Amino acid sequence: MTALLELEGITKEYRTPSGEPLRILSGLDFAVEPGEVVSIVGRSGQGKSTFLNILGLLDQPTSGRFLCDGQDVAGLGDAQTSRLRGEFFGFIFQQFYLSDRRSALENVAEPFLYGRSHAIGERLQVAEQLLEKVGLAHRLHARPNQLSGGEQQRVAIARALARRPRIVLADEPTGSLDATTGDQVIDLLFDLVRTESLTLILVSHDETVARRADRTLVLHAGKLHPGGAV
Amino acid sequence: MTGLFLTAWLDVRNTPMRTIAAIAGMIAAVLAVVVVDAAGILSNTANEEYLIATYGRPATISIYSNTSQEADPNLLQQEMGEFQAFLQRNGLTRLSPQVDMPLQVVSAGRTNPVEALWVGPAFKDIGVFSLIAGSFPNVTADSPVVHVVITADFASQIGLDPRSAVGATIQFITPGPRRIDLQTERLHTMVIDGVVNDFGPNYQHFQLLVVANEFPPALGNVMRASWVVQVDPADEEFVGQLLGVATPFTDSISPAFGTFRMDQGESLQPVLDQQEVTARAVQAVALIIGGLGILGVGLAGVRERSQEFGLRRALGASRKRVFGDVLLQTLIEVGLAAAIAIPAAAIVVDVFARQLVLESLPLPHSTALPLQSAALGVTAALVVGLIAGLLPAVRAARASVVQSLRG
Repeated sequence: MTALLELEGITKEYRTPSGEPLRILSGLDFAVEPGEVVSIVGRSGQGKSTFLNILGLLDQPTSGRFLCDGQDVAGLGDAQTSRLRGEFFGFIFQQFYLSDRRSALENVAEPFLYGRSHAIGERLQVAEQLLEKVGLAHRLHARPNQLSGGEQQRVAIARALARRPRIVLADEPTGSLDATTGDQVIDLLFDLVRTESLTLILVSHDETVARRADRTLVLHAGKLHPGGAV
Repeated sequence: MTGLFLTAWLDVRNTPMRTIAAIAGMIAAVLAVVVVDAAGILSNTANEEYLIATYGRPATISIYSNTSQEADPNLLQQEMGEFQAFLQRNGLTRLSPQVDMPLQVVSAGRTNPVEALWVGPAFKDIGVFSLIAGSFPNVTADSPVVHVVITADFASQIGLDPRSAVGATIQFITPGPRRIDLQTERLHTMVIDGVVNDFGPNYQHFQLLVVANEFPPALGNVMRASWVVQVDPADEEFVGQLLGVATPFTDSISPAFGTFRMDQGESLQPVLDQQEVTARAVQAVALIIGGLGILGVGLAGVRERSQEFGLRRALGASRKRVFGDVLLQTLIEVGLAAAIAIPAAAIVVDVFARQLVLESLPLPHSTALPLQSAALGVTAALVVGLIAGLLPAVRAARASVVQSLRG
């Protein structure tokens, strides 16, 4: 089966304030196939979020080759990269990043604003269906600050799925939630991903969460290593 | 495009306090721009309406001949008649001659010099005097009795009460290159038909007005002969061409003829032009202050909403799109400012029209906000919004997605 994402020899370097190079990723290789659920674990500061940002086209590697659905993303301009990011990926963040000024429904419909034209009614209809799927049919018009943490993350999950992405990237999705709520959110996320046959790449500190993936990789010393030890 | 407008509109709608802060200064700026512009336009309109009411739509031109002081009065009178016929043959039919002539009014055994003006009856139609209807003297035909209107000052000067001078008769002589002897001098009689404060802006130096059917007899030295003609403003150049081919009078000095626009002589255009310069300066300052307000709020907004823009990028918005979102939001804000400021300006202009229009002019027929002032307000707001929104938009678009999401 052709890999959905394929990364070869990816490095990522930053400059420290003193001007010294700081290498976060060092010749990292990674591939993921359609429908696969992969968890990335590792200690803090190992570059898990950096890796996820590169995967999601939010950041660029310093060097290496990155094929997204067979297409080399290195030569893409900002407009093409942005389009690919919006259509191919759905993001779930630890901090939810919901707009308090918008209702749950409007937050879920927001990705449509940056994609191809949809009628407003159609956007809201899809958003409503997604909120029903995440069990928030009764909170459509609630503002995020009127929702619990678990509910907010459900809204964020619905938003990530709005444009029917191929891959969902989740960065510590339960990091801001208590254990029970976190479990419920993860259950929901895994159910939706399986039902929709999506690919999920999940970064988590939580061993139980990581173990539910098809494959667990450990990010250490700038490279990914197979295994389950967290 | 729908998404772009919708996003910008949601940004405006969802941040009411920011929107109010951004547009408050701009409302004041647009209000100032529109009101100041309207004041200029209304003053110009008032000036135009005043000139039309006073002089009529045609251009009122004074054609004068440059003759030497030693010109033979009889010959000059003949040549004036020929010249007038020439003008009439060439279509200048709204025409009336005027002759400036010094007289000596005899009062209490003394002579009082007076600047008299002899005009044709058509002057009443041309209406270059500020006399009210009925105050023109009766037409003086070939009669030894001359009907006149005099100024109140002159009435006092010759010992008459201006309030009871109408109907009084006085006597005058024509000065000439001779020694005046009141014992032997032939005295002419004049009847006072009216007393006025003055004869209007173009004739303020005259104290006595006579309306005559014909040129005055060679009563003395003609100081200056001229004709007041009214033509379509487009034909003003034609009048100049006509004078270029007219036969000069004997003893004429070069150039033989001259013209000036009498209606524009009273125009306040130079004052209005100066007022416009001041107005433009006020408008520029108001717009700069309004623009700086928008810029400040815009830059602060971009800094505060860093995560929001980062999220947009994560959800698929390109840099160009984020740039468009921020710029369009600014344009919507200034549009709102204009939408509030322009009706407010319409009220201000209507209510304070008297204070806005130049004091020396009557109010124009309509004090409604001129459409072009409203258009200027909208255009100025959009241009300022475009300029002031540029920097925040560039900053929002250039920010790194990852850095933005970190906040």
